Amino acid sequence: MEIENETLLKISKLEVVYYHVSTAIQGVSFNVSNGQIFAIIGANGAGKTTTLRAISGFLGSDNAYITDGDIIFMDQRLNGYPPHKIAKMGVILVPERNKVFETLSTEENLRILFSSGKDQKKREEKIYEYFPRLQERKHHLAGFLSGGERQMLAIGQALLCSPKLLLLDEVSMGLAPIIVSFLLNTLVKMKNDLGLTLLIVEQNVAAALEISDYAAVMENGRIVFDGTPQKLLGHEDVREFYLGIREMGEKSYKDVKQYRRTRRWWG
Amino acid sequence: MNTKKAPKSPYLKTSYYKDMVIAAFDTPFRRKWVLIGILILIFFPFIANKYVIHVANLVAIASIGALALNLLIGNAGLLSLGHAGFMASGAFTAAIMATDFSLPIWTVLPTAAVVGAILGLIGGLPSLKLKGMYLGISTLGLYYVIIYILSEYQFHGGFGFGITIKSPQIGPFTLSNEKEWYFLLCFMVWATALFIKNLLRSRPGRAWIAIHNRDIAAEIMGINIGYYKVMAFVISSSIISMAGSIYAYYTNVASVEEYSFGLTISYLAMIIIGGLGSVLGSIMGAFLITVFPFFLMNIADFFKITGVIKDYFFSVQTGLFGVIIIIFLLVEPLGLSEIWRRIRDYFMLWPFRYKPLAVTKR
Amino acid sequence: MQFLISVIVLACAYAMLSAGFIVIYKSSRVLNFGYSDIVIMTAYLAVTLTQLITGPPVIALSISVILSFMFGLVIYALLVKPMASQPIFSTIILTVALGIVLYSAAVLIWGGKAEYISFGWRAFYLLPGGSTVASTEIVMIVITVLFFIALFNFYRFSEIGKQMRATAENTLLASQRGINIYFVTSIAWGIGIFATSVAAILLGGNYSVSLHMGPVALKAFAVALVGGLDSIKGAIPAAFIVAMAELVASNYVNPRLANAIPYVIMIIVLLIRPWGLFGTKEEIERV
Repeated sequence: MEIENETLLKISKLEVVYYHVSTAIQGVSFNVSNGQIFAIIGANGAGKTTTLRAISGFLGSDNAYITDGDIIFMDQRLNGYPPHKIAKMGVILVPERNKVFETLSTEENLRILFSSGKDQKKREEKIYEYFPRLQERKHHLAGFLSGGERQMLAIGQALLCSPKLLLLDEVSMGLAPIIVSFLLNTLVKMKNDLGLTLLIVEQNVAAALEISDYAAVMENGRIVFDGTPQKLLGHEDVREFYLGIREMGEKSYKDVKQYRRTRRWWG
Repeated sequence: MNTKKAPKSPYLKTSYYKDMVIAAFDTPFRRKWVLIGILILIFFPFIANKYVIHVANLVAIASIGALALNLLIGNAGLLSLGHAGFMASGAFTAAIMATDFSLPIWTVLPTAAVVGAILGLIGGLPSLKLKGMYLGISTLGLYYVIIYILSEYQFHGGFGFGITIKSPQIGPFTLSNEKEWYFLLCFMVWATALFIKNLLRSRPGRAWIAIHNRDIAAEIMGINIGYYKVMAFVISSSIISMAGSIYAYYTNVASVEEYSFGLTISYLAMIIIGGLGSVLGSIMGAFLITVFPFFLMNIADFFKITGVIKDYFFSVQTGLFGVIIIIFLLVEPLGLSEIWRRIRDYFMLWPFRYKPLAVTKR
Repeated sequence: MQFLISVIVLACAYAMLSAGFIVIYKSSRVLNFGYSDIVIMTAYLAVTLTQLITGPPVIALSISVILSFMFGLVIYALLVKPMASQPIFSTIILTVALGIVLYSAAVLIWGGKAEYISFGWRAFYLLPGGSTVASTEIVMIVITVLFFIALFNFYRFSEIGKQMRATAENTLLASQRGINIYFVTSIAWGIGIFATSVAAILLGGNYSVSLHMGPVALKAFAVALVGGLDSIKGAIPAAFIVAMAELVASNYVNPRLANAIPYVIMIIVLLIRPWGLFGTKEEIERV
């Protein structure tokens, strides 16, 4: 796997506030290199989804604003751009909820941007190659697809927008393990075929660490730890809190001094 | 370990009873300001002139209607566009009962409530099947039907421009004075607000919040959504109907022209500008929307605008009204209650700007 | 035969009126309750332009509809776009407020006088069977047909139709998939107000332009509902149904009942099939 060291996405000291009152994330900084699979893991409410939405420009509808920090994609500052402009630049988000157009059929969903042209036909074929299940459900309304099929459709739709950076929010949520591994493997395949960069947010830590090249742990709106998957897997507290592997005896949350000491603050 | 005993914080509730108190009264600070507010309200009519008291009375009547409507639209999330019809039915109930049958007001009001409830039941039935805009449209249909029937009654009954109603008598008193009405209406607003606030804090209120949010999930959890949806309609329209009959008593006339679609819109504006789902918001919105036209009229007199402009002033006033609503909605779509919340949060968080992130303590 | 012509003419009027409503709903899910006031405004505008601009009325009328298109863009930019993240309900109230402003403006500028629009071609034609058809009615029928064909093809053969639906359903997702939601929605509003203006002019030519045009526009809402609030092709059969029902009631039963007919049909539709003949079922319920 050739990893070019050029930084595709640079987040520095990002801060997002909801309802003009509640800080959701603060001081978030990390870099994503070209061709990398970068994973952000953490519990519910840690701020992972907020980060993704800030990057993709999705924030405005929730009475949320970026109050500090920069999002720099390919040397361009993305703060404040409308979502469609960010999408045109090649940053595509597959959201956690409302990820497809439910009243349109599968086929119409895929054809949302362009419906004709030779190029389009070929690219549609490719999507059906990756996800044969979608071909079977071509004319069904997207609202009636099962969870796994919906996710496939969402990813397929995202791919048709020619992404350079694909943001995936909790791809594995609510899906059977066999479909999760299928999806993640297909994602790696796509990444290699099309030269994508992936930024995935996951609660399924084991699966995420399996496919990623680099990962960061978010807690309470801050990034508290980052490193290669091996480093994370080797860390005692990551094992305990995110993988459920308990080493010796009972540990109380109060005793977790080690975790706090090795916690590094970015920004 | 030496720990000092913490001073008694007013935010610390030490019994279930204390915890149940409505938010407006739960700390000494708030209770002080509520008392001051009550005193202002009591002494207000003695220092203000008749015109101002009249406007205050109109605000009070509008508040009652707005509170009930906010229950239905803001809390239960059921769009209803037919409230002018319920008000009209209350007004005409009062008209018929007071004029034809000379029944006293304390028979009329409950009857108006019952009439409103029945109409609310009819209007609420579509909510079992329809959602969102379509439900609103069906209530609109009910509105037209009610108005049609009432206008037939008004015109064919030979009432011309409206049925006149004598001022109501409570015991030996005849309510004909603005001041007397003022106190009665204040009490009624307070009673309605308290009723609705408590309703929202109890089982129906929780059911409505659940239904508003996601009714399928609510149903799965065991909430009988059909029952509560219709209940929202019934309660809301019976209160609105009572408000209508009070309005008829106050203005001494019941006329179909008063209850136009425009009235529906102004009530909607009241609760949207006030803040959907907020009890205080309904009252604030009712205040703003009712006072504004009077305010504009007085501006005209104040600047001594005469001549041609004054003739057209009604249109200018209506137009300005529309403009103000537009500007308000663009600036703060969540309404006055949101502005109030932001002011409160500002003072609560000061000198910080935002609530800080949760920090794990050692 | 005369009856049939009146039905066709009325149906065209209703279809044309509902088109503006449907286009806007299709792209923004906004029920434009200020619609009747926009009809009045655009009609009066056409009147003034025909009076000011010399030459064949067609020129003035064309300018009028183009101005209306731009007015639609302006409405979108100033009123609808800032409210994009709010519940649809607030935008609807905004359209009502806009309607109030427009109505007052119309009263102020034109004083509430009834006016007439001339198409520059006044004639009556005698048809076999003894019935007559006026030139204004022919114009209405022809323009309605052309307009609907154009609109329908616009939606069918361009992606914009699908994009409009997608934007209406899930604005954020549409935006993130690269659809320029501002462009799509503003075009929709432009077309919507354009259609409204055309309908207003046709009405003005056939009947009159006055402040009482409002209730007619409300019937267009009923027509749109019957056909499906977001369906262009549904408007035509719906318009025929409503027009037929109304004229039958008016001629053979009771003229006053005719006014209530559209609402009765509306209620029936809501009870049986709320999304109309061809509308999309908006809430696909899946737990």
